[in-house]
This record gives sequence, C-alpha cells and structure tokens, in this order.
Amino acid sequence: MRNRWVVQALGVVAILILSSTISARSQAQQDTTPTAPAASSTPDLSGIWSRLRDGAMARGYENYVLDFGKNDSPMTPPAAAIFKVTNSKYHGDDPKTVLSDPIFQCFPPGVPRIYLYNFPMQIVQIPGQVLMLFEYDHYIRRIYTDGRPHDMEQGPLWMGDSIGKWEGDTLVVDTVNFNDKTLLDRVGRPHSTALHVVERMRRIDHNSMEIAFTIDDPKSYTKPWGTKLIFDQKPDWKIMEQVCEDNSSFLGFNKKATQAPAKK
Amino acid sequence: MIIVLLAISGPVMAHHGASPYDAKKLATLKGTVSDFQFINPHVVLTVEVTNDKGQSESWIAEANSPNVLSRHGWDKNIIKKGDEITLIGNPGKNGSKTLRLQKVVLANGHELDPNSLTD
Repeated sequence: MRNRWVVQALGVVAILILSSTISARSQAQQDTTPTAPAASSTPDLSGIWSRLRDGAMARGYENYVLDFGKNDSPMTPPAAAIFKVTNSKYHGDDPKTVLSDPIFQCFPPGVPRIYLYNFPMQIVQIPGQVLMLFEYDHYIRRIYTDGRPHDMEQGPLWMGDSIGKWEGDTLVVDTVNFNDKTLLDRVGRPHSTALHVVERMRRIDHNSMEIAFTIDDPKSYTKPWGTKLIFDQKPDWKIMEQVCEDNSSFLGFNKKATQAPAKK
Repeated sequence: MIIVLLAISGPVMAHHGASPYDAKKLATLKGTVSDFQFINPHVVLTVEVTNDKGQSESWIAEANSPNVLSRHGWDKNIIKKGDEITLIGNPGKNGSKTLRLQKVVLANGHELDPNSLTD
C-alpha cells in the first residue's frame, strides 16, 4: 500500500515536471514566434521605386539609358566575336537590324538590363521572399531569402534564379542560371550561361535606394565589372499596366504609312 | 507608275525604341487629329496634314509609353479626334510619314512634353 502511494506521488511529480517543461517550451515558442528575426530586424526596402535619371550624375551616379559599360571589362575572344555582330546589328543606324534586338520583339530583358527601362518597380517583402514587381511588361523577380540554395533543376532562365540574404541594411541578391539569349544592354554586350549577377540593395536615405551590381561572367569578360544605380521612392505612384505587345499594329513598321516613299 | 517599297518587314514590332527616327532632324507639322491611341507600348497619334500641293497626307506620330506620359500630365482625353494640333518631332529615317514626338502644341497654345528622350 505504502509503495503504491510512493509510486502515485512520484507519478504526480513526474507529471508536474513534464507539464512544466511543456509549458516552458510552449512559452518559449510563443515568445519567439511573433518576434522572429525576419519580422522585426529585416530592413525595409518596400515601396515603389523609379530609377533616377534627372540629377543622377549630380549625385555621383550615372544616368544610364543604353548601357552600363563605362567601367566594363575587356571581353574574352568569344564574347568579342559575338559583340562585333551584336553591336553593329543592334546599335547601328539601320532600323531594320536595330529592331531585331530580342527586347524589341518582347522577349524578357534579363538582369540587370531590365533596369535600363524607364518604368518603376515595386518591392514587396513577405516572409522568406522579396518580390520585385516591374511595371515593364509585368515581370516579377522572386528573390528567396529563406536560405534555400539556387534552383539549378530549371532553366536556363531568361531572368535567372535569385536568392538573397540580408547583410546589415543591405539585401545581397545572387542570381545565376541565365540563358544566353539576352544581351546586357542595347549596345549589344553579350553574356554566357555562366553569367553571375550580384546586387547589393540598400536605402541610402529615406527616399532613395542604391543598387550596386557586379557582372561576373568569366566566359565573356576577363574580370567582374558593374556599377551603381540610384532609385527614388515614389509613394504617390502606382504600378500600371504595361504591355510590350499591344498597339504594334498601329505602330506598324510593316504598314504602308510607315514605309519609305514610293519610287516613281 | 508607283512602286511601293516593302521597306521594313519581318517580325511584328512592338516596343521598339527610337532607332527608326532621325534624332538629328526636327520636323514641324500642323494638322487635324484623326486618331489618338493612348495605349501600350507607345502612344500613337495620327494627323491629317495638307502638303505643299494642297493634298492631304496622313502622318503617324508616336510618343513614349502612356504610363510615362501619365506621369507627365497626359491622359487619354487630352487629345481628341478633330483637334487642330502642331507636332514637333524627329522624322523617320526611311523618309516615311512618321514622327517621334518631342513636343505637342494644342490649339489653345498649351504645350505637352512627350518626354520621349528615353523609352
């Protein structure tokens, strides 16, 4: 009988210890869940951003429209051979060949070329992802920040596969797995499937964001190169519909009205 | 005998930049709007112009994206069919009756900036 009481008492103690442990563990979970590091300490890059053109140079940035090539690297011989063709074809005076640039046929622009276009983008931060919603033809860049590795089972891809991590106030975005169908710019700089783009995105003040990027493509360039872009926050703007293909039949570079004058 | 040249053929062009136009030349046209398309990827304005011989000619003028122009005060009602209008812009390199707009002057003298230096 006495032994039974002892056993029961020990059982009660054990239950109390166990429930206390469970309670403590549960409390710990409750404490950590709402204050997970990503929720409270992640810098905020969200908002609508437009790449600054007017006044960019005055602020120490380049006002890029055609290319990022001011500080580019010498090309490897294979890339130089490609550039000889693409530069004359896509950056010459003949509209017929210039317009054959894949971008003018509404193929995706790739990265970082999408930044050359005069349309804003919205950054949205959700747990585990940073989304870049480009107005230009509705492109979305999905940058995974949950620690996953690159997805190399898809592609090669037009816009590459992007993963990111926060280093202090800077989002470091690493993008690989590109196809080689895009050009880096309108001047015709090529790249290979070995293209590796690293972007460092940070607010430089409340209304401005800098994206510094590096292009590393050892098959095309003898050393990494890149530049810095500046974006202004546009709180009053919205992202509108922008469609690459729409009124092409009105523009009609195939149509009679836009043809060269008739010869008599 | 008139021989129509198939000047530019091939893929259907869409968003296309300013390369078909001669940025070194500026042309000024006065005419009547017959069509105004405030849609992507480029705003297109068709204007009937009377030439030196007294004949009516259709000119197609294009500007930037409606998105960009919206942020510069334009909207789809800012120009209407029948409006008398003055267009200033870069003519097509191939001699066609096309224009890349650099400025629009409405009948009331109000100037519109197409901001077409970038695209």
